[in-house]
Amino acid sequence: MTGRVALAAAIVLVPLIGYPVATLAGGSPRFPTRDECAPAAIEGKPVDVVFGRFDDPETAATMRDQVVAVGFKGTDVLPDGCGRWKVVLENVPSLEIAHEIQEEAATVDLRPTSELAAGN
Amino acid sequence: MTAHGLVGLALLNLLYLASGAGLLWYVRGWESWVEFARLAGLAFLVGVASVGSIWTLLLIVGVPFSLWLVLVVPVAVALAGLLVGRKRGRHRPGLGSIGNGSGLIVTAFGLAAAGLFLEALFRNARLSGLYWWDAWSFWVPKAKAIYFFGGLDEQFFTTLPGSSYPPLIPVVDVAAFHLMGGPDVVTLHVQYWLFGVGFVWALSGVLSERVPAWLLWPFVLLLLVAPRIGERFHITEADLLLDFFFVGASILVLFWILDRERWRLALATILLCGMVLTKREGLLLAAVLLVAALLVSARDWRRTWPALGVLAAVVAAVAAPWRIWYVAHGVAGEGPSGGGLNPAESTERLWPSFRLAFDVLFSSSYWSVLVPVAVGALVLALATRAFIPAVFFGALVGLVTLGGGWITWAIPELPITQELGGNPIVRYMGAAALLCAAASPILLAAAWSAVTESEEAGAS
Repeated sequence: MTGRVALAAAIVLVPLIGYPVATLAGGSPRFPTRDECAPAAIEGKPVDVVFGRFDDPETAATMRDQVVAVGFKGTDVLPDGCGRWKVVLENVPSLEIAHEIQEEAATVDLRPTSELAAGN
Repeated sequence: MTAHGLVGLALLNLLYLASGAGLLWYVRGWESWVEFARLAGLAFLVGVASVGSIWTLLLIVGVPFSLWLVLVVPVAVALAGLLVGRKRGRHRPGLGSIGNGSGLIVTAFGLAAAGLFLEALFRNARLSGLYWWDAWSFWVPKAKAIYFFGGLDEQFFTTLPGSSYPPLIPVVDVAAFHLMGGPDVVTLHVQYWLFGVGFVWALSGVLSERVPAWLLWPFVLLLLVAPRIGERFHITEADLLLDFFFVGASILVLFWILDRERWRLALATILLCGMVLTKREGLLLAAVLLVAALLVSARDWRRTWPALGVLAAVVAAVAAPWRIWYVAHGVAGEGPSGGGLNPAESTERLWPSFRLAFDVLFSSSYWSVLVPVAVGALVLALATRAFIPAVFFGALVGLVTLGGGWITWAIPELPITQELGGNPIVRYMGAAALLCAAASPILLAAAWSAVTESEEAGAS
């Protein structure tokens, strides 16, 4: 093998092998756990009030209807990105207001949680 | 499951390569393994088109689509090619030499850069969801129906959106499902990434015959980074595979016109067969390629037109069974609802429709600078009297663009918009943009060759 051929081989092989090796050095691809789909609310950022997560959209829609019927208008069903459906009142402006909503929900036997709003 | 899926896909794509290599061996052969490595991308693309077409035709006539069929067809094509090639006197290839000139280092840098980009795209393809409308609304559901029912379920196939689209794409999806061990719609994206890799390999391998490395690789990289090309390699829709077949066939036809090596026309015919079974636009693209070829080869029409006639007849024969199937099952046809042949109809849409196709062709947000650069290359080729490639590509891109305008004009339901959900013009014009990426290095190489030859002639 001449020097030029060896150089050409190195130009091709070093990056093509080095890139995947460097990428995989940090481990194989990982998926978020279901807990990571419910990020904790942060003071000063919009909050999602989540009334529950469900494996199928129909059950989630039934729950949404119940939540809306007791007065939490604007509550919707959305995919949570982890294979489930969440019944959620989106983009509550602050954690304080979210707590007020949770307290009000408790009076009708609902136990929503506060999460960091999607996209924040 | 996913490791099994990746191994299954690797096997399936080796079968595509083997069947295309068998056909290449039959029609052309190769002197060395280095030469085969250069043409392996073309062999792969031909393998996908030939095996995909045979599977599709068998499915249409009612042969159950099973794992056995998936395995037997490519093995049979590969073995038939090898055996007939041997009877034609093909001899065992040697190892060959990869050369030692300055082009070798340029090629190495080009391979490294393109390879790195494709590796990065693999990460995208490896874990992609089924996000694209056409993919989840009908391409993949059709594939799942064939996978679970073993054939063309009449009710399903006549009621889905895009019911008149030919089924080559669902068929290659089903082949992937069988080899992956199930309908894994995530890992399926890797199959489309592999089509993209095969096309880039085919393009660079075929063009390297006539284009020096310093002209070739910048265009390969430009193609990869064009917004609606490289980044869409993994999308499980028909558009890019259709464009790959179209551009591959166009280059082979041009090179056949230039050197009359018949194997090129044979392989172009196979790619066109795959094209007309991939999407209904394939018929239009096959027609414009034929017209451009007839035009450019008119001076020697006694020799070229009969061969092009045979090509057209074979492609029409392969396209016919699907059209018979959907007509027999009461599916609305592929033709435009507005008739599409009377210029007096919808005259108010005429100019806006063609203007739309033209705007999309020159949109840098879709194709980066591919099209303006190709126009510059075309002007240079004409200025240096490299007429055949210049007229061929000029006519072809022009006809594809006119075809795009015609589609919008002839289907009155289509709004005159670049919005993907409303009008297929952006998808369709991808064929012209990809063609520009392939045409530019050929045109520039022809211009360069003409200039250097005239300088040498002047010096002597």
